[in-house]
Amino acid sequence: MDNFELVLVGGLVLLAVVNAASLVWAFYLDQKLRSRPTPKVYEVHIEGSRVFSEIDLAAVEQQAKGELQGATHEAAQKMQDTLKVAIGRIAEHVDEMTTTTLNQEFEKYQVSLQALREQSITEFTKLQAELNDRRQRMLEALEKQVTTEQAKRMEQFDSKLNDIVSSYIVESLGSQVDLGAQMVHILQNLQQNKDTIKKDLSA
Amino acid sequence: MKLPVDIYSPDQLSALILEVGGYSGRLRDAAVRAKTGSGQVSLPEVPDLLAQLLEESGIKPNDTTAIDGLRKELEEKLKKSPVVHLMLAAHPTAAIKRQFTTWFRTEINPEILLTFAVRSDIGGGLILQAGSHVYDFSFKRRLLANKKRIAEIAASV
Repeated sequence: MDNFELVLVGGLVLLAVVNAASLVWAFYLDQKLRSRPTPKVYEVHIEGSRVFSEIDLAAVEQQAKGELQGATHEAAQKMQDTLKVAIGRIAEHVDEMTTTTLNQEFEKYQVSLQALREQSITEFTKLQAELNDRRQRMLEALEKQVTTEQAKRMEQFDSKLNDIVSSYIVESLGSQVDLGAQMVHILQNLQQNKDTIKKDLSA
Repeated sequence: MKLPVDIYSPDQLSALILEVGGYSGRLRDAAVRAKTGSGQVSLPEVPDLLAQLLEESGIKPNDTTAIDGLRKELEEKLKKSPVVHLMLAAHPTAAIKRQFTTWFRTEINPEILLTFAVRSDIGGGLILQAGSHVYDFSFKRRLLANKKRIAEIAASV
């Protein structure tokens, strides 16, 4: 918009200069016309040799002045028309330039915006992937830790369970064992492992 | 020669060998006294286990040579017979010992010898050592093999 205003101001200044120049030129022509050396009037008293009479001379002067004014007006009018046409063209050109420039700028802006958007999407995708990866790694580490801790505690529990079961068995069955009742079960176990026992003894 | 079912352990077999040796010595003394005619000579009393063994082996109680042979055979058995160690939750009665001895001599080896030990913390069942292999048929092991069931049982009680 600064360029547009600059062009407008430049145009107006140009118009003013052209107007001023026209007026100066008109005045210059007028002065020149006026300052023409008046022809020496020789008192020739030959009545028959005078081309114009005093009245005719004033009329001619009056007519020349009128024609000069008309020409000046006509020139000014033409100048004004030319200026109007020039201003219109300049305005059209400025509009066209503005539209073109604006369109170009908008296109650039859109391209930049699109690039920025794509970059943002890429960055966010990367960030998302990194976050997912990190989350996954943390979950795995946590799971591993939990599994290790669980195994450790189960191991501790198992080691204590042995003592607990032993103590429990001693307390509950220690004085009330009936081997007679267990013999069927014991002999059944022995029968199932008979062949292995034989091999062990022959080895 | 077949060992009586009540002779099941190496210790008992050693004692029996000593008993046979003692009986054989007393038998020789009696024979010498009979030859010298020094008073009335009677055969020495035969211990129950030895009497059972002599009867099962078809040896007459005054056959010194056969008894000496029996002694040597018993000594050989003591050296060569396989031994199995049994661990139970309580002291086994004589009947249970006989049951074990019969089963092992029928199913495993007719010459086998057994030792018995007691460990009350196994709860029940049997731990058996045959050679270098240990078989754990104890209740404790079965319980520990099903630890999850213990928790279930405890929860349902």
